[in-house]
Amino acid sequence: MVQFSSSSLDSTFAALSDPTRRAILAQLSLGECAVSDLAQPFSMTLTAVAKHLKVLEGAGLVQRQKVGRVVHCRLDAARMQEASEWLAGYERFWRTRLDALGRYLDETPD
Amino acid sequence: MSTATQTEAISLQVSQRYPHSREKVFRAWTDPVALKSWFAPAPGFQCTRTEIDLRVGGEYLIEMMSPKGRHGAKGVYREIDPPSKLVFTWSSECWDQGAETLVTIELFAVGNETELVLTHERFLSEEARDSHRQGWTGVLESLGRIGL
Repeated sequence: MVQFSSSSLDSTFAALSDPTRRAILAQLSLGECAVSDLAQPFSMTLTAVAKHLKVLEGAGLVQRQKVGRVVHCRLDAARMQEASEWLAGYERFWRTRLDALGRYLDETPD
Repeated sequence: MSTATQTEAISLQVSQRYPHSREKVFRAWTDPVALKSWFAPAPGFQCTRTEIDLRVGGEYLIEMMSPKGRHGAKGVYREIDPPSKLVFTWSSECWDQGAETLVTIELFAVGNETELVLTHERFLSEEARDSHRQGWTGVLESLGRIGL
């Protein structure tokens, strides 16, 4: 099983727990975007969007880069991959155990 | 577990049907000798030690040896309701860096057989829980939407 850092997974889950932040991620999944363009569809102030972006950046989900006077953001999907791998890893782990339990039960008298 | 608590966790569920009684299946999870004989099924793995203090608040320990070395899991029983339900915390230094997660085993009688449903939940930190607004189903859906 892949090993995971518990604190980084927690920050990923925390960042993903907000619907606005999930919407921002969905928007960024379509491609790199300037922060000002990102703010428009959410009818939010630039400050509010910047706040959400800071959380996403802190969780390693988004990367920000300044090009001239414009700040661009793009999605960094590795962290979300890590969260979904935690689930997949334990699903494999338990399925293997439940199969072994079945063999044990079949071989053991009541 | 209340529904409200479940929506604050990321969780996975696996289930399996056994042609055995719920009592027998429950015993396999709660008897240290039984647990030791089936819990390390992968080739090269061996369950070297199991300790079970079967009471609410009592601790358990499962120690395994693999070609990569010693690892295992430990936790505390939260709910013991034979032969239908067993709830325990699960913490593994090797796989979760010690983060505490929760495992719920439910046993349903289906005729002469037993349907086992295992739920493994990983809760958010206190801070994350406070700021949480939607269930993890939504998160997983959004993961799917962005193609992960």
